[in-house]
Amino acid sequence: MIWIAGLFAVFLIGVPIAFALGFTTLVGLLQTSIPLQVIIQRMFTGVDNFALIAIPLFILAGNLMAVGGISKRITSFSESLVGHWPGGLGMVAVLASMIFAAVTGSAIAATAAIGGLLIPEMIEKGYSRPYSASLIATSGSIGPIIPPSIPLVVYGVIVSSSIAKLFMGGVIPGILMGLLLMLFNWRISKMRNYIGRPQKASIEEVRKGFKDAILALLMPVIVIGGIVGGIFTPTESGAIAVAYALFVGGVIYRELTWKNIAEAFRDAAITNGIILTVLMTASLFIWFMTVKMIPQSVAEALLAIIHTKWAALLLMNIILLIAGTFIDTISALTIFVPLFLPLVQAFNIDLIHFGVVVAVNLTIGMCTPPLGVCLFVSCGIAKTSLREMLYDLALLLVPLLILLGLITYIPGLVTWLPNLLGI
Amino acid sequence: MRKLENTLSLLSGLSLFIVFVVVFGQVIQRYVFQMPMPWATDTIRIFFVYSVFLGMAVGVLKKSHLNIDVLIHALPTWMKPKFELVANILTMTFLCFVFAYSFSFITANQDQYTPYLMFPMSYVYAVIPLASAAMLLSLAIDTVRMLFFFGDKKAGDSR
Repeated sequence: MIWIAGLFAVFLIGVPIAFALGFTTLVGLLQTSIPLQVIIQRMFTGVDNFALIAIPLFILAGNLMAVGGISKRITSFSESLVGHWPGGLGMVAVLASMIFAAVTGSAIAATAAIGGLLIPEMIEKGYSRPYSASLIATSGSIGPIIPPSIPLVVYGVIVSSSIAKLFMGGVIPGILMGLLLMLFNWRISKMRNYIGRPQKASIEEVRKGFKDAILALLMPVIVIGGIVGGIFTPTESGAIAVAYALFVGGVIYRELTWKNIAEAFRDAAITNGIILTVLMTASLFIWFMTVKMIPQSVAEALLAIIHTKWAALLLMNIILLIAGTFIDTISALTIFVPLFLPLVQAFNIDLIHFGVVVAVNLTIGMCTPPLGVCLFVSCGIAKTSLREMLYDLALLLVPLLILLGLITYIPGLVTWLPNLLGI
Repeated sequence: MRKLENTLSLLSGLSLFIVFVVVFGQVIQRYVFQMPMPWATDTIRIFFVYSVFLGMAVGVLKKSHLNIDVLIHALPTWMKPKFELVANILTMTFLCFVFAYSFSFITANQDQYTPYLMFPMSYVYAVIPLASAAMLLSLAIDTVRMLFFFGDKKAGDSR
C-alpha cells in the first residue's frame, strides 16, 4: 500500500502522471536486486502492441472530420431532425454528439467539434452560457462509449479481451446515455423556456440535410460494420476511417488543405505519444506491483469486507468515480484496472461488462471538476467559468449517474448485443 | 529549442503517416490483390514505436504531459515555483535512468532482428536514448531558467 500512497504523493507535487509512475517504480526497484534494464524492457513492451495503433488512427480520424467539414454536416442534419423539439439546440447537441461518437473515440474531440459549432449558436438563442457548456461537455462524454473508443482499446489491451466485443458492448449504453441526456434537456428546457426553432423542418429539408450528411453518416456504418462483420480488425478500421475522412474531406467536400492534413497528423502523433507514455510507465508500475503481490493483497483486504458481487461493483464504482475526477481517463484505467482485476475474477464479473462500466465511470470523471478535460474545452468555448457551471453541471450529471447505475446492475445492457452478434 | 520541437514533431507525424499508409495498404492488399504483405507488420511496428517515443519527447518539450495540479493551485504563489522545480528534478531523475540503461538494453539485444524484414531491433530501440536525451535537455534548460529566476514572477508564469 505504501507504494500507492507514495505514487499519489508524487502526483500531488505536480510531476506529470506518466513520469510519477516511472519515478515511483524506480525508487522501488532500487531497493531490490532486479536489474534496472527491466525499466526499458517494460516500457517498450508496454507500447509494442498492434491493437494500440488504433488509438492514433481514431484520434486522427476525429481531427480530420472536424477540419474537413464533416462535423458541420452532421450537426445540420441533426438539426433538421430534432431542432424543433423543446430545447431544440440542446437536442441537436446530444444527437450530433452521438453521431460524432460513432466516428471518434475521444470525448475531447467530440466536445471540441460539436461545441465549437453549437455553443455560440446556443448562447445566441438564449441558452445560458453555463448550461450550454455543461450540456456539450456531458454529451461529449458519449464519445468514448459509442464505438470506436480509445479507453476501451486500452482496457482491451490490459485485460487481453476482444476489442470488437468491447466496442459492441458500448453501443446500447451509449445510446441510452444520449436518450437520458435528451430527457433531462427536455425537462430543463421546459422549465427555463429554451424553445426550439418555430417550425418543424419540412421533409424536403430533412432530405437535403440527409443528402449532405450521407457521406459522413456512412462512416460509422463502414467502421462498425467492418469490425462486426470481421472484415477488418479495430486497428485496420482506424486506418479505413482516416482514409475515408481524407477522401471525403479532401476530394468531395474539398475543405481539407495539405496544411490541415499535415497538422492533423502531427497533432495526432503528439497526443498519441502523450497517451502512450502513460501506458508505458503504467505497465512498468503495474508489473512492479504484481512482483510485490499488491493486487492480490488489495483483493484479499477487500474480500474480507465485501461478500457480494453487487457490493464489489458498488465499491469499484465509487473508487473509480473519485479517481476519475482528478486523474485523466487513461491513467486511471491503467492504474486501477489491474488492481481490481483479482477482485473482478473472484466475483466472476464478466470482463466485457466490467470494461464498459469502467469506461462510463471514467468518462463521467472527464466532466467533473477539478480535472475534467471536457469541461475545460466547453467552458473555454462558452467563455464561462467552472464555478458558474457547477449547478447546471450537477443537474446534467444525474442522467449519467443513472446510466451508470443501470449498466452496473443490469449486465445484459452491455453483454446482450455482443452475444447476439456472436463476436 | 523550437527547432528541435518542430523537427521531432515532424518526424513523429511522418512516422504516423507511414503507419497509416501501411495499415491501410495492408487491408487493400488483402482484399483487392489477395496477397499477404509479411513485411508490413514489421514496418508498422517500427514506425509506430518511433512515432510514440518522438511524440512523448514533443510532449515534454511542449509541457503537455498531464499532471494533477489540485494541490499546486491551492498553494500560495511563492511556493509554486519550488514545487515545479521538485517536479522537474524527479522527472529528470527518472529520465536519466531511462537514458543510461537504454544503452545497456540496446547492447544486450544486439542480436535481435524483426522477424520478416530482419531489421536490427537495436535501431528501433535507439529511439529511446534519443527521445530521453531531448527530454532531459529541455527539462534541464527549464530547470536552470527556474533557478535563475527563482522568486521572480516570470518563472511561475512560464508554465
